[in-house]
Amino acid sequence: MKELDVFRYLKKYRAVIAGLSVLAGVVFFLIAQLRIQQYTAVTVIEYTGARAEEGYSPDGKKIDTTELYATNLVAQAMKKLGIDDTQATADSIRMNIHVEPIITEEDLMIQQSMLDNGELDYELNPTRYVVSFHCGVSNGKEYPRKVLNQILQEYASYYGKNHVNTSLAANPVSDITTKGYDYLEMAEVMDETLTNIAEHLSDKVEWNGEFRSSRTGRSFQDLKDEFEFIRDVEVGQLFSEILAGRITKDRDLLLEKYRNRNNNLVIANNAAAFEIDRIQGIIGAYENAMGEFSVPVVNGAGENVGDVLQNNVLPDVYDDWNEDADGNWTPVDRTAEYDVLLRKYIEDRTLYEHNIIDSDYNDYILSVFASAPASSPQAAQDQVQAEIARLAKEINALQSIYYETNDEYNEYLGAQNIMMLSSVRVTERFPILIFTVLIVVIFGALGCAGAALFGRIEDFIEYYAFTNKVDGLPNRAKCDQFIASREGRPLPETFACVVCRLANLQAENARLGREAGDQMLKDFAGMLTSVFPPSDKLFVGNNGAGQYLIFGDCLEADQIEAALFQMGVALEQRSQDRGYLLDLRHSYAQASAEQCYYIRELLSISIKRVNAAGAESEASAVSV
Amino acid sequence: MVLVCAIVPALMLCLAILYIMLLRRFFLVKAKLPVLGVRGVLGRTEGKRRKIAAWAALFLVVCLTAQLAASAWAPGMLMVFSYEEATRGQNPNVTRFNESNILSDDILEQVIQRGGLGISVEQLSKCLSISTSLDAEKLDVTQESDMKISTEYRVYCSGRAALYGTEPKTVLNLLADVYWEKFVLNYAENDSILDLSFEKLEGMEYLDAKDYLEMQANKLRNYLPGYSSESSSFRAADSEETFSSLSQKISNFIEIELERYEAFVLEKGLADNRTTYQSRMQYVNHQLDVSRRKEMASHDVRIEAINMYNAYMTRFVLIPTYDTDKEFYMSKTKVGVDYFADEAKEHLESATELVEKIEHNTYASQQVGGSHASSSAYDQADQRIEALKAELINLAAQSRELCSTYVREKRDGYIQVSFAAPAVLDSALKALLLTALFAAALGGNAVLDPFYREYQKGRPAGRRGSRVVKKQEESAS
Repeated sequence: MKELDVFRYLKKYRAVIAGLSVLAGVVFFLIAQLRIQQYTAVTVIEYTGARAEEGYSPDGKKIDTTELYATNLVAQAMKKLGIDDTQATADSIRMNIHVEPIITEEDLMIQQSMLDNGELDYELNPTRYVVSFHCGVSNGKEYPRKVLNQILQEYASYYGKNHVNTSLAANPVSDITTKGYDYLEMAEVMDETLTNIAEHLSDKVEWNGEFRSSRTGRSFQDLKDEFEFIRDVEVGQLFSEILAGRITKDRDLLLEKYRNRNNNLVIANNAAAFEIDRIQGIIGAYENAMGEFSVPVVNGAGENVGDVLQNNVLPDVYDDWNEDADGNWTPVDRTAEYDVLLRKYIEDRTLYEHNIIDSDYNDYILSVFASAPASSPQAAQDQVQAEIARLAKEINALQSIYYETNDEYNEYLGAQNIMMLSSVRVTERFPILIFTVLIVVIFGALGCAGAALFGRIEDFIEYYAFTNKVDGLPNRAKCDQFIASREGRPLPETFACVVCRLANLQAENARLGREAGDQMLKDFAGMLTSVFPPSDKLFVGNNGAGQYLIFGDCLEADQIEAALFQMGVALEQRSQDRGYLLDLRHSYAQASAEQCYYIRELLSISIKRVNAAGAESEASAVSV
Repeated sequence: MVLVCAIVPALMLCLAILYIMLLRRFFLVKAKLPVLGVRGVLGRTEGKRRKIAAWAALFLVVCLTAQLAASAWAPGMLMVFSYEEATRGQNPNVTRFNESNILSDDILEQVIQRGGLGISVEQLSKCLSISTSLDAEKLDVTQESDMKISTEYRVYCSGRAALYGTEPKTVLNLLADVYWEKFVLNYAENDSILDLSFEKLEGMEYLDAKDYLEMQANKLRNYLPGYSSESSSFRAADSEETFSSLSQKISNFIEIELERYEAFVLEKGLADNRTTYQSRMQYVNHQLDVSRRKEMASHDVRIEAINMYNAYMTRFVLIPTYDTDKEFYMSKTKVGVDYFADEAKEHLESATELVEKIEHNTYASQQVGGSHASSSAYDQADQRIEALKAELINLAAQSRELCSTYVREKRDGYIQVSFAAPAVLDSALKALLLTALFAAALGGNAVLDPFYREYQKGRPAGRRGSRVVKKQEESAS
């Protein structure tokens, strides 16, 4: 059997190994690039609100970064980007969004220092977060950037709306003309609505007077002025028209309502008067009790042990916040009980007085409409109705501008409270090219190992199935295999077939014995392979019964003649040394010379020539 | 031009084929190649050198020209956001900047509409891409210097756009125009508040007209402070106007001209509809009186509470401190009465304001009621209103001019757009590299050519050769 030579196997299978490695690399690259690869969009945000470093948003709630990928925000972003369910679902996007706090070494050192100094309740509240979004490559490189940008946009707006600018005046005027209210009631609703809006806008002007919307061009001050002008002039005018003209849809119903209001006010005032009376009693009792408690207490020995009031101290003086049963934190109220009582007294008394004033106003309305007709003339009603409709339209239009301005204000507040520290960057998540090179290398290494293993197994098979055990040359089966492999295609011009035959093998075997015969064969095989060294282009095999076949791809006639002559000389020399006699007969056929390009035909020509040469030799021997 | 864009890839494909051929020939004839005597082998190519040089020169010219033509035809567009807030990742109105909006569907839809392009939004979206120089850098959050906001964005349009009957540069030009308009509309300074409308003045009462004109003037005055705080020293080149001078002019308009107009109307007791006006004043005064009474009631209740407050309960502590003039002042801890007193004061102030308004309305109502104004007085008032409108329009125009000049100077157009010129040096280097590879491949093939021919001679001519052999055999038999 052939010796173990790894390089022989590698050389033999180098093309297959290289091909498979490259193919594996290409296949991996394509699969990875189209299926495994992901794009990562990443950015850094920072909460910059006044209490962000304590972990709170401006409305006093804890900063909750999970809001960033809440379903409603993701769904809104998807809707704005026109992403349907075939591209992605809200959950698939949410699962791929990650928000990680940035905690620096410095932060950790500060925390450690605080803990070391006994501040065990110190809590690290990072304000910077890395926001990333991973997705496949199927939707392109722009997709993750678009999605992350839109989600951040929605979040900024949401944050501004829910954690900073939480108030927005309602607009019950939008459909007021369809409600069937009386004209005075409609005017009252308008007046109240405009007063509420003006109050809201006053607050906004106070907080952020310099804000001006790019979309509407208005500031809150502009809007406030316009709403107030409508209220003071146009709604005032409407009121005066209604009251001066005593215009009503149904006088009795209107009067009944105002009488009812007065009744309710009387009832409320009775209750308030009762409470006021009781609170005054509590306040008096409290003062008396405080007076008595503050008398110094003297013990039996005549020593002053302090007054009882010294125990009447406020609780929770060290805590700023209280946690209720629902886990919500509220500031500790340190108002003295006496002040709380007086505050309640003021509230009730104010309510009582205001009710009396409101009752007077109702009496005024009743006095005005008492002499009104049951139902005003249709022309007057139509005129007022048209005026109300015009005013409602005007208020609604202005309200729309207010809402649009407020939406932009929310975005503005979001951007003010959540700063972007880095642009959204889109990178490939996996270094596919490096992995591909690794795959090629790994497949190359595995291929080499496989080639060594396979080559060795092939050697075993070759040895036990296709090798003549006596001379070590390929046996008849191998010869047949070789011939079969070449018979399907034409031979090259330089192809040659040499047939050698040991004519007296059986006689020598009988004469010298089997062992000497085997040695003889070994010697012959050695000489044959030294003259015709086997290679990729030269096959040397034992066809059985002392017949040896040599097939060469590039064998010239001169080369063959010289080789056979050399072998003849060497054989003669060896025969003399070993004491046996070998009758070697040989012949050859060359494809170009014979104009025969099929191996079996070429072999047949060679065998015929050997046989013919044998017959001639025998004939000459007989004649001699 | 699509074909021109395909030239370089086609040349690279040819190059790859040449190298495959070269490798194949090398492996086929390697046994016949002399190990030594390379010079001799190279000597065999002597006759072909000029031919190779000519092919290489042609390759270089074609490759370079195709590259330059392709990059000139489909250049990258650089959008530079030049306003101050861009460096903080914000729009000029301080909302969050979103660069993905550049390629948003509604922008692309407008691009298609404006250019009359025969392409869908989806197709156009696939042709366009956006990138920043930061995309190439991995974000390292531990490095403060690594956190940067990009203010430049490169937008590319693929040559595929030509398949839909348009050119990449046309698409990019349209995109830049549409996006700029959208950007300015949504995020830039909006001076539409300066477009004053006086439609409401028609049929308005003379005294209400004063309030309306004052409201309009206040809009102008409110518009300016934002700018004056940013650059108080800014001055218009031709009018020498500054923000503060213009603001003062508007204040003068309100405090002098409108006041004079009001005085004139009140003096003459002018009213468009005397009865209605008086009726309204009466109602307004009734409303104001209700509010006043409520304010006074709140005030009185608090005073009552203060009087009730037992002095024994006010245990306060004196605190030495400073007053507003930095003089020593002995303050004290607050108790309930302090708050009640504050509130009572506020209610009193409100009530006083209401009393003032009531008095004013009463006076106006009296003047209107007792008026015997001639028609000339009304004409005079109408003329004054027209003059005031003209003055306001003039002030609005001045404000717009000044603000626009300032914005133009400060914002520099918000977005600077430029097209990348073809990179001649890069293209030349790439072309030279490809040409060198091409020449090497040609040279290699020329060197191996004789050996390959020799190899081919040693082989039967494939199936054709075998058929010839068979025919010869048949004829021989």
